Amino acid sequence: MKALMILLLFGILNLGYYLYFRRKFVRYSEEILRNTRRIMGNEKDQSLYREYNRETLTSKVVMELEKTEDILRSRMLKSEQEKEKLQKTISEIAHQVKTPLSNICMYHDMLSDPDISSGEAEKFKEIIGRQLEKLEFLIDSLIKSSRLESDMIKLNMGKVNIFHVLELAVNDVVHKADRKKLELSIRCGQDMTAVCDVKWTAEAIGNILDNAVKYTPEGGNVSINVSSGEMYMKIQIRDTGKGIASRHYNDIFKRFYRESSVSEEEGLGLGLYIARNIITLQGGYIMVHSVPGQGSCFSVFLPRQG
Amino acid sequence: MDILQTENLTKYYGEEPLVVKALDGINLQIEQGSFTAIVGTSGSGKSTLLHMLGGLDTPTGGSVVVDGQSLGKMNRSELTIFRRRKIGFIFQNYNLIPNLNIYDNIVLPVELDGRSVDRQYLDNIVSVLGLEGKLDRKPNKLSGGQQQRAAIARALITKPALILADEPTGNLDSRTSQEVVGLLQATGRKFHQTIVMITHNDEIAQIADRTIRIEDGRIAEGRWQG
Amino acid sequence: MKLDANNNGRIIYRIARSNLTDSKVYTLFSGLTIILSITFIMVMSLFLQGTQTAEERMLQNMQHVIYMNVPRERIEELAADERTELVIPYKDSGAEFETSGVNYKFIYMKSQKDKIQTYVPAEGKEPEKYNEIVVDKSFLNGIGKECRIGEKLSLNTENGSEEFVVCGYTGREQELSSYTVYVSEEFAEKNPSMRAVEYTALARIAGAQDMESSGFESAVYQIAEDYGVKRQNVNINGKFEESLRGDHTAGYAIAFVSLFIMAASGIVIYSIFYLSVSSRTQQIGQLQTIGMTEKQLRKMVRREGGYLCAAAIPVSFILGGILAYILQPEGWSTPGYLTTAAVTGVFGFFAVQISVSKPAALAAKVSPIEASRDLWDGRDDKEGNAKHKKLTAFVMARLGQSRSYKKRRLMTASIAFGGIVFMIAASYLYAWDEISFSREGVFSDAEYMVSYQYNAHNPSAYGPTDMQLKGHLSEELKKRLSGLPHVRSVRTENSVFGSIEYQGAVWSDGFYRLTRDSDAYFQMNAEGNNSYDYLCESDGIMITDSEFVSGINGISPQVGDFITLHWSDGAEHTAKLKIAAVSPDPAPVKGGYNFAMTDQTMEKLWGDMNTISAFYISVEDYETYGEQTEEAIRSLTDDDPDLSLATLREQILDDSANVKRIKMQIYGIAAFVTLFGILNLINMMIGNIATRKRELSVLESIGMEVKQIRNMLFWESVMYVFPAIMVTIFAGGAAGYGFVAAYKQIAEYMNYRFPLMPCILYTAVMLLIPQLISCVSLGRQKKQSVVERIRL
Repeated sequence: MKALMILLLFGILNLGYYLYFRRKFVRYSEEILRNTRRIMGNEKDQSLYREYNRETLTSKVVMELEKTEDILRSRMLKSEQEKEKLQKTISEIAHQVKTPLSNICMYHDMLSDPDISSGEAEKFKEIIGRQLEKLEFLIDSLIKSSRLESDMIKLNMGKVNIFHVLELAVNDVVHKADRKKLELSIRCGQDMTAVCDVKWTAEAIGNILDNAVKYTPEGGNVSINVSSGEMYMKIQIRDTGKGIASRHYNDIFKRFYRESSVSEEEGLGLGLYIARNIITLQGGYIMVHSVPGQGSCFSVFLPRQG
Repeated sequence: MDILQTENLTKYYGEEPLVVKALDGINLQIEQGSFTAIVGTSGSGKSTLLHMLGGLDTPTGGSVVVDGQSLGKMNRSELTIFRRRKIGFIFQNYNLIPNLNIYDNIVLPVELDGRSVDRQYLDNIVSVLGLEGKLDRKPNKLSGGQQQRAAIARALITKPALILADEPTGNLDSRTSQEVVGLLQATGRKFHQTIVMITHNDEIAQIADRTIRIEDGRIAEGRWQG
Repeated sequence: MKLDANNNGRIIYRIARSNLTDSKVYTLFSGLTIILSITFIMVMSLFLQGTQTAEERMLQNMQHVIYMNVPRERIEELAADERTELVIPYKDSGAEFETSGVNYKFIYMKSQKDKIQTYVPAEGKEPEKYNEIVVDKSFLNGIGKECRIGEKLSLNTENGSEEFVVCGYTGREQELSSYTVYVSEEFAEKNPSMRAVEYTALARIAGAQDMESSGFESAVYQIAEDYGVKRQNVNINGKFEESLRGDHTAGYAIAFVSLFIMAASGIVIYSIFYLSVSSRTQQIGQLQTIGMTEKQLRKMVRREGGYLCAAAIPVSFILGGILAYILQPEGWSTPGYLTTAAVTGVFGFFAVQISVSKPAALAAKVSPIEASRDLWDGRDDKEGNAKHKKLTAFVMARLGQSRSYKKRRLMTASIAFGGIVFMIAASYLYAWDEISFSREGVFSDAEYMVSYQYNAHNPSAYGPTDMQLKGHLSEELKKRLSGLPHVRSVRTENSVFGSIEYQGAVWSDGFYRLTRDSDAYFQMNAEGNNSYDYLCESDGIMITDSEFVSGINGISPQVGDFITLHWSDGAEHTAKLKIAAVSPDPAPVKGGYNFAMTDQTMEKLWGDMNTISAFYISVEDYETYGEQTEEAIRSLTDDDPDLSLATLREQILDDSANVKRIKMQIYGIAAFVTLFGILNLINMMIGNIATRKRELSVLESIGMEVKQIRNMLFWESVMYVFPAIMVTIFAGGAAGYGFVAAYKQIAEYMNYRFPLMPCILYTAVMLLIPQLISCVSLGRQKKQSVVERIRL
């Protein structure tokens, strides 16, 4: 008889415990649901803040939910921003295109004039030709840069021999360098590799070399030096050009930035901008160090592993 | 969206007439996902500013709002928990716990909160930062650069709203410095983190999206590097 | 724990564990401190308890009362009486005999192991036949006989030499001045050495343990009366009676001492943890930056304490138990051990928890940035004015010290406590010496005592008066004794004896002779008039130790009453003497009787009878001439059977076993305490230096020579050791004095002497050890380069 009583008591106690904890559990989930609704609602009311930064399970869940909401929201924002960017790019293109286009129109009109001499006509054709080149180049670059920016480019990443990349890059500028009697040197081990896309990286480095050549006076030299770090391969491109003031270190990578003193030189001011984008997309980065009047050193860092 | 705003932030030490104005009215907005460098000479107040942003010290005046929450309204315990969940720190001297191995050090903020480690995320971070195979070593067996990378991993693991880096390259040679700051930028970009870094080194600062110059406790100039 | 609480407990334990496994120095020394302190408490407490227990155990195997001069038949009746639990008959030959240079006397008693432990033959059996005997091993060795059953030997008895057979022997190997030869009942009844002696009964009263002391007393005397035993023949076991009195003072003393030792140990534990935690502010700051709350920090630190305790406390239990057992095996009681262990364990655990939480809480309150820069070092933020001072090692030490009052005070307190306990032990040690122990009593100023061989078991009405009448202790003997070479002086003691009748009781007693110079008596605190003149005038007597006298005789002496004295000087006389003074204090002269009368009164009553009762002979340079003088004295006294010679040498011999035990205990405790103090100091110093590795390395990097650093550390240590030494000497000296004074209550042979030598040694050691430690620690640090040390 006694045993039965004890068993019964035990059973009641257990039932009691179960009900108690069940209720707590239910209340707990209600609390979380309530907080979720509050977070998703636009007004975050005061009662929500009570749950923040406390050493409780509810607090953890609530803050994590909030984080999730933030992430979602920022993604939304990002896509809006991209749309904006695209808009901006389009209007920029339109703006930039206007001048050469109007030039072409003008010279085309003048060509149509029967009163011009054949020499003048030739000259005008040449000018139009050059403007068309420029236009082509401009549109190309703009599209390229906008594609880079909106991650529309497919990069063919792989372990790549750097020397090979440099060869490609140097090819484009070797003539210009010769013309200016610049000494071009490469120091790079045959087996140095990095993870990147050959074509794009060559283009990026090519842009930098282009700049180096452009801004180095006759008789100077441009040297490329490749070294390896723990995480990155460093490709240093040194020139003995006019140099860049340190306060402009970041400016030079901006779109359409051109230094006032070089406006006679060719160029759009997009080269470094594109180069930086390419390198950054590949998980690397570019840094610059320069002494005005002596020269500049561009360091391109490429990841050694993917 | 701004992840961080300060309004008229001030920090004074001492009493009249010998008052030291470490911060003298700082107004700052940091956009989410950006990498901001705060540059200044020593004594300019940049360290003090960073400590305020992270809730490690209380301002004399003004407010700091991180991710919509005002730090001034929190008590000490709340601040600590806020830091644990919302802020990642990287220090000049790495500040790794010497008697824990690298893995424990990295996941420490997560475990302090009683959460389980997102193994995939961790592996991702570890591989980006090149720390594979070093996870069960103690900090004193790693080079300075490697230790700092571990510190970066620790700052990333909780997916904080904000990462604060106080002279992260201060104890490193120039080559390692370049690598570390490059990684900082790369991981910030890859994992969509907001980074605020203070440094006295202009060259290191160039890697950021934006540089803010601070002098005598005030912002001298702030330029966007687009 | 609330249901909703965050589930982040596990990492805390992991960090706590790794903290301990990683900094082995800290763990080792903290653990050692705990072990030391807990063991200390346990050993001291168990020792004190053990002393009590040993005594209790002894009493359980002793008689409650001795009834002297009880006829054989009545003993049987007494045994059958339901009021007695056990009765053992016992006969003592009284007279001593000698064979082959060994002294002995014959005793008949039943061999008994429990309840009343008499003797137990290690081998063989109790004597049954007339000439069977049981003796000690050492007796046989002394006589030059082999130690085996059946060994035959001849011994001198009253009858001359008689043959005996060894039927058993005890395991006692202790050499004694006089041995006991256990004989059979037949021998006791028939042999003239013992025939005339009356039986004595050793008795245990049934249910005595539950009686109150007064009830016990009355029961004892009631039985005596019932069996016709005179009151003065009732000898109650004083220790047993005391135990009945429910005197808790011993218990209180134990509790008090234990508490004091706990406090000392508590301070030691607190200071070592305070040191170690306050040196970890950097880690604490780092953790707070990462997101560890104050609560979590405290939990971590408490966990560390917990782990340390889990490892250290069991070790302490084992160590403490072993040491306590070695110090006092008879006092071991397992329940007592378990209780002490439990209490001490709990105390230790909480002491560690508190010691560890407080500094951790303090450290946690400092802002994380300041803490992680590792500037806080137990600092109290007391801003002194920073005047320019020349930076010598001494000044730097002082500057360093002023930064953290609390830390310094703690360290000083910790060392001081160890020192005070050391002083108490040293005073204890110094207050006692073997010779004084044995000299206590009769031999305080003499090495030999010649007296009448009076057998209390075979009493005559007028005590030794008969022997006095024979006059063997004569002036002539005295002259001859004085004339012996190297004898410095021979003091005479005069006493008279008689039968006293008072308040219905009758007993024989002796009277001590007071002269005008017996100031000790005249200055005693007494009721009535105890001045020499008054006593002479009124022919009064003085009674000392009144309580004892009352108890043993069943009287209540009142000043002004008269006693009736029957005495003999050849002829029997009776006189009435007035009780002039009664004092509760014991007689100032050791061995003096509790009744005293003046020489004038004595002369009046005994005339010119020879009232000499003993000669006390002192010799010059006892060490050198003691033995030969003894022989010389013996040659003068041996022939006379009435005279007995007691020597200091014999006393020392008899005391030797006891002395050995006491010595071992005292030295053992003193050694342990000293060890405790020294280890504590070493512990603290090493901990102090280890936690300041960075700071010292920085100093080295800016150009401070290692020698200079050592100097600075030396002056620093002086700064907290010196006050500790002062406290030790003064407070410790006072405590030592108090302790010895208190101990004197139960062990009168203690005499306070300031332990100068130990003090000097202690001071030297306390100043030397820091030097040594600094050398060693700095030497070990040298293995790492300065840069590495700073960075870490």
